[in-house]
Amino acid sequence: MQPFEYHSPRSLPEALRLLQELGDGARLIAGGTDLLLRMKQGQLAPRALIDLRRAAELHGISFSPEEGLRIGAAVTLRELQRSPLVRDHCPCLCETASWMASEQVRSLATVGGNLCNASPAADLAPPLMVLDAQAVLVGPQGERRLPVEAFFLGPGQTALDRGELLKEVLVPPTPGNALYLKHAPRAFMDIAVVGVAVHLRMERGLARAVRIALGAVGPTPLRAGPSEALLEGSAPTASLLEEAADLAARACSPIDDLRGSAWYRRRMVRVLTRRALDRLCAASLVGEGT
Amino acid sequence: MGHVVPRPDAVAKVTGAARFADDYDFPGLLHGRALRAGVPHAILKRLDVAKAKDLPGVVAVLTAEDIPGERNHGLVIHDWPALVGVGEKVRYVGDAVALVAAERREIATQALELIEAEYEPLPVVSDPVQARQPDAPLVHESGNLLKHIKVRKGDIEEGFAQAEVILDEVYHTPTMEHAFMEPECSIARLTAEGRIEVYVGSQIPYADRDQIARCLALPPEKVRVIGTLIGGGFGGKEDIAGQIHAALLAQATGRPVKVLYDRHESLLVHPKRHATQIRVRLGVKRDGTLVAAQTELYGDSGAYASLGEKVMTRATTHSTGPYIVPHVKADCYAMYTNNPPSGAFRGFGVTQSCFAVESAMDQLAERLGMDPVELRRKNALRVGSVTNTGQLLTESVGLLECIDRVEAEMRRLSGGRDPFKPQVVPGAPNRVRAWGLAVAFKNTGLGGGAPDKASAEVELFTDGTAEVRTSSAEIGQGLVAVLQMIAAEELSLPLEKVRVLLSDTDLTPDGGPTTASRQTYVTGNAVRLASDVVRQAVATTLAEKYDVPPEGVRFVEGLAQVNGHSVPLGEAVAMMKAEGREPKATYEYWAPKTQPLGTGGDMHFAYSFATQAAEVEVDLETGEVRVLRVIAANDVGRVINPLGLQGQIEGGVMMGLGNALTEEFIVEEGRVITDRLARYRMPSIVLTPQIIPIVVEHPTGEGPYGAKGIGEISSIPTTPAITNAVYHATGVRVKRLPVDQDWLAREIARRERPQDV
Repeated sequence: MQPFEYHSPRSLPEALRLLQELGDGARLIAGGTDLLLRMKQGQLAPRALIDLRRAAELHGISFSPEEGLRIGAAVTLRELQRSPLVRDHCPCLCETASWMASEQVRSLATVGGNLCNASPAADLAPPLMVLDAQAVLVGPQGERRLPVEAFFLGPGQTALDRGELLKEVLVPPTPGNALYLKHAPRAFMDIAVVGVAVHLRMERGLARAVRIALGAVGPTPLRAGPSEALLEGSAPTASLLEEAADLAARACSPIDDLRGSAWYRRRMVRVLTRRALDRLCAASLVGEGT
Repeated sequence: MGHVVPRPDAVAKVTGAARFADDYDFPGLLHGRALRAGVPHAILKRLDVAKAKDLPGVVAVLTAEDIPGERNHGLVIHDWPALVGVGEKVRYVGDAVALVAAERREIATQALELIEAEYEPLPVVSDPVQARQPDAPLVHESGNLLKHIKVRKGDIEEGFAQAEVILDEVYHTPTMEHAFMEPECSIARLTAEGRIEVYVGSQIPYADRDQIARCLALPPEKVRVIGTLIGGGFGGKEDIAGQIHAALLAQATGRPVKVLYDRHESLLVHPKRHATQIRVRLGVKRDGTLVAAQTELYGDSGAYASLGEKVMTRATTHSTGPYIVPHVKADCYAMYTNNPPSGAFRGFGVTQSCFAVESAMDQLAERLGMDPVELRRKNALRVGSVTNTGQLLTESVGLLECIDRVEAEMRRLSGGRDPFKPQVVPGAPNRVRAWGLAVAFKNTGLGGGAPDKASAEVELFTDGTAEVRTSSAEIGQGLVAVLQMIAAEELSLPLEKVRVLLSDTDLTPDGGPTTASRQTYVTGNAVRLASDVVRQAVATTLAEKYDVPPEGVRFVEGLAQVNGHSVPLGEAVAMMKAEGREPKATYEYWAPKTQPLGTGGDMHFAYSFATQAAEVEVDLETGEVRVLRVIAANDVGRVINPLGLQGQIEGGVMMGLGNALTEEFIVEEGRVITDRLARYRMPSIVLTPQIIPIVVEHPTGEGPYGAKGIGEISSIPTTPAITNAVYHATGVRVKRLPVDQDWLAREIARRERPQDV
């Protein structure tokens, strides 16, 4: 590993100032579980690291009935997994975190790191997308908000401008249910071969707010628009859910790699979408009666 | 004996108090690192270390010319250069070309980057079948064939002429990594007397000593290897890793030097389990009687011999399974390639051939319309059988009992349903379950005519304690507890009065290699017999003092009872010393003589036998396989420590499960793709099935109390038991390991809707 400067700003403004000053040679670090690996392997050799973990503004999880959940970018996956607030308002995110990496890695890795790394297989992306979450970006010009799905531009590429960083993620209150299903060879510890998140709510027997997002089957996590359109406002039947799953499989553009073939990924999108829809419709229908 | 005893090293290992090689420190300690070639096959054209030498903090940079003695090392053939010199050949990516010793590890790493090495690439030999082609590039000047191994019995043509059904199949197994928890670490230092001490967790300390001495041009007695605790071996710590490099750097600098591998280097450098291609041809009568078995094996031995010839010999002699077959022809080609070397790995080649032959036996049973258990039972080796190498089995063949007991348990757990028919999981139509079964055998001890001996020393002290000394290694298998129990039994001492000192070439006599499931048997016997000599010496002293015949002295719980007197053992020891008698004995135990392959006779002095049945659940849509339950019966001769045995069975099953479903060390054109642990998928605790052990005891006459090996046999039949279960659940026959979910899902889909795949 090449020598580098290490900065540990105590506040968000200080972090932004450093990012401005140090320019392109600097990288932001939080958990470091991706970055340090790439530095050790010689793929990256930043001149400086700006450690965001001491900036209090990036920490914490809070909830308000108007805004919903606010999750700081420096919140670790372990904190996310164990947060009572998240469990109450967005249990799907706790469950997603529990399928990520290992206990040791979850204690370091952060929500912001998972998103800013911009892997097409980032586990948090599909559930945040179906939860209609917003990414809050902050830079020299102030704050701006983007839907999480607009945050990803390509593998390793995000909508962050020079001098900007991800401050937090806002998850609006939702009356619906969400579910993330991940397929990996050993169930956990491995990077997703395919990830599927689905959100919907049942109103008088009709599916509403249907959102489906797919991970690891394209250059960015992506929404399965045609499937959503098919189901929105429909009374879900087995054949309709099957068709929606088929549409999702057709909506993605997976590749062959060491983790799985394009054929398998497409198949897994269909299988997992169908299973997630089945479970959510069943859960929602039960919920409807109460 | 036979009681549950917690292992003496357990608490220290769990609390972190245990000291492994990396935990040792010495004043002035330097950090050594090796520059790895990073190219699989090339001539080293130029090497410039000047910039590295000039880096502040660097104390020494060594190249091949700096090696005072022999350049090469190796356990059998000295073909593995400690450093590749300019003008010489790099044969795999892990070959070392230069060594650095520096004040800090970071400086050593930085210095490696300053070394300029130029290579002229050569065409790569990437698999053993390619290696045998007449036009294949040569890995070694002597040719790519490390060894052609042959097994011949009867007349194979005649055998197939008698056959009414013939099965002919080809199977593939991948390269596998041991993934022991502790990466390799060696610390070398010069002593005031001018000797070299090397601290290392090694499976064969005396072989390390001799190989270090040869490279350093020292007589072996100038080198002392001090075994530290070992964080797992599984065969992967039999060859030299950093021992010679550390010693060379210590000799050159006069300071202690630590050579610690990170996981990347460990994965790249140390020998692996051989990848194989195995063709199995079985001829059988309609009633299921095997009449002919022909196998052809290719083993990828990688760049250097290591134990390749021995491993593939074991693979070959076991390739027709633990069955009575009158006509056998087996040919194995152990080939050099430009892949990382292959060597010892729990199972020693038998893991691979067991997968092949046990898959074939299941396929044959189906072809015959016969129950797969019945087919095995009909042909199973038993007392009076002759093996494919011509060995008449006269005792200790518990295979039939293993089969019977596993089958009974499997049928009981199946609740009257056919265990080999798929059962749909209620409420989950995409999930099916079924059982699969496989049998195995594995030699205990080196065999094949190799002298197999172990020495142990036992000493008594005036405080009433005893110490057992032997160079054998504790690699996690539980040897310390076994030797402690044997000495305690023979000396009639409470367990806590017996200490065990292992693996020090100055202080402990040679117990031989910790390999081949041999330590309980061979070193166990040495300890038993050394203890017996000491006990008789005590008895003689007391007999003289109390004027009774030595037989009149009885030993009970740390006391010697003689003529109505109870003498604490420590007092008896004091009496011996007062008379100038040494209360200690060394015993060199020679295991029964064996015969080389091809000469008939006893190729091995004992075999362990096993049967396992695995219940799997397959997700037909995703291709996921979960192993739910494994029934494992092992004929171990006689149980010494039931808790240690249970550990060996559970660990063995999990290793077999990883072999079946998840693990694969990937090398492409000589380049290692699996270069970090995250890419090597070992099964974790969540994939652990319920493991139901069944102990079968058919004692072997020469074994201590009848015991034979367990270390390897516990892992061998797991893989085919699982893949046979996958077949019964899905109709998909696994012929290539590991079972890839992607592939399995595709094969299942192909059967349902061929147009979609």
